[in-house]
Amino acid sequence: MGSKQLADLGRYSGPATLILSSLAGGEKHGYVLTKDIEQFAEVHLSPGTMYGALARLVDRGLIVPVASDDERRRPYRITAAGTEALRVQLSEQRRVANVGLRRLAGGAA
Amino acid sequence: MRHESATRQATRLVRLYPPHWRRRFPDFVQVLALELEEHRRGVAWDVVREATSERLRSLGIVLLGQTDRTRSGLALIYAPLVPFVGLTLGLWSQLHTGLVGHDPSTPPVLRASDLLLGLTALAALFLLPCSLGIALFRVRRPGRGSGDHRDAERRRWIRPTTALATAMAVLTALGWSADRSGWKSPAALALPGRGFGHFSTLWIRALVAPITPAWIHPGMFASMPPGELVAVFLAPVFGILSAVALLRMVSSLPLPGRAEVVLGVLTLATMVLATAASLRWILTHPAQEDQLAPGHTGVAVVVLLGVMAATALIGTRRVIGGHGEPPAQVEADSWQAGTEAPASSGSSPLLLVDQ
Repeated sequence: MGSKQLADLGRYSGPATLILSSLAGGEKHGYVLTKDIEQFAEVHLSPGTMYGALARLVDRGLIVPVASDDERRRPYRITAAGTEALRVQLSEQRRVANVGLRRLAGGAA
Repeated sequence: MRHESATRQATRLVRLYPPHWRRRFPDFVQVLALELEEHRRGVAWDVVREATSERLRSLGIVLLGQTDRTRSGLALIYAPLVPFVGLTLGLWSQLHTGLVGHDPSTPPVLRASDLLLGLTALAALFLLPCSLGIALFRVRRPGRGSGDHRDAERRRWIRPTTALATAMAVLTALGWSADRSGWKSPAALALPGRGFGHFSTLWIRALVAPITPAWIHPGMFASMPPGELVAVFLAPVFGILSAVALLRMVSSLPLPGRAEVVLGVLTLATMVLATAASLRWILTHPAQEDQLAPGHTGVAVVVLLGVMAATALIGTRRVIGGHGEPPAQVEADSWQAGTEAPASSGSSPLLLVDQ
């Protein structure tokens, strides 16, 4: 189900992809998520946008908050549905990227 | 920014969110405070925007994507045309078959009519410059892209812009012609006849010229002065041409949602103006035996205004609200809202194509 779940998130689609990609490496809380995304994607997610995306990902069951003693540092974990949605989204992006790169290479030749 | 100061500001900003949202993300304040401490650019604005979005969302209103806003804006502008034309015909039918001797002493209606008249005349004054201004701005700045792309964009805009400007100029000339002819047009009689407001009268006068009881009494055409007669027959052609040109302009590129709403409201206001002007004339000119009688016109006008208001309400709700999440859109040259590439960034924007 939900082969295009991330695409359906509209303007949160990009941030959601980044968040899921980060959580695919293990559970993280908000600030660590920001830093991790900044490191691997070189994109800074503003907190308002990031939590907007987090809310929608939780609503769709793609991530879940993990119980924590410290409420100020609540980690999130990717679910099986989230893993599948991320796989579909990244495959789609890779397909588009491959086409673009192939055409660029063809045009340059 | 010192930590205490950042925490205070974060606490203030988080209050913009609905209470249930704050309870759901208790860690948000901490993250926001750290971001503010790092002097991140645009953080406060991002929070204000997202908090507003969450407030609206908690009320069941979801902001639409740009493409949907454009479609909704078009609906808002053009949907009222249907009830307007249909019910205007109904209005004149009522004139024809209505009761004789209707009492026109209904001050609240007249006051409301005056108010509508003033507001819509003002709105009409800005409608043409606004639409032309937006169009010309788009022609001058067709967006990013290659030289060929810009040329193509410019070509796509030149024709509808020229058509709209021409149609509006002809309509204004026709309105002037009708205005000078001396023919009493019930649909335009209450429009401003002098001063600055007279300018708006000219093209509105042409737009409403075809709304005439002469269609029911064709003999009236024979006594019409040439200026009015020309306007009656040519105005629909140029009115439709201007509408088509405007449609092309609006649909060629997604305009900002706010501009579409303004255009829609102004278009609607112009229609209300014509109707209110008719109503005012009808109520201030008691029927005589050899003249057209108001009959149930008041009822028809109330129905007309009601339908217009409902259409505007539905259109506005469609523009700012909807059901479910906005659909994904792909704009290769648009950067993701709420994201900021570091100065040293070498990442591809193609990764973040949805807006």
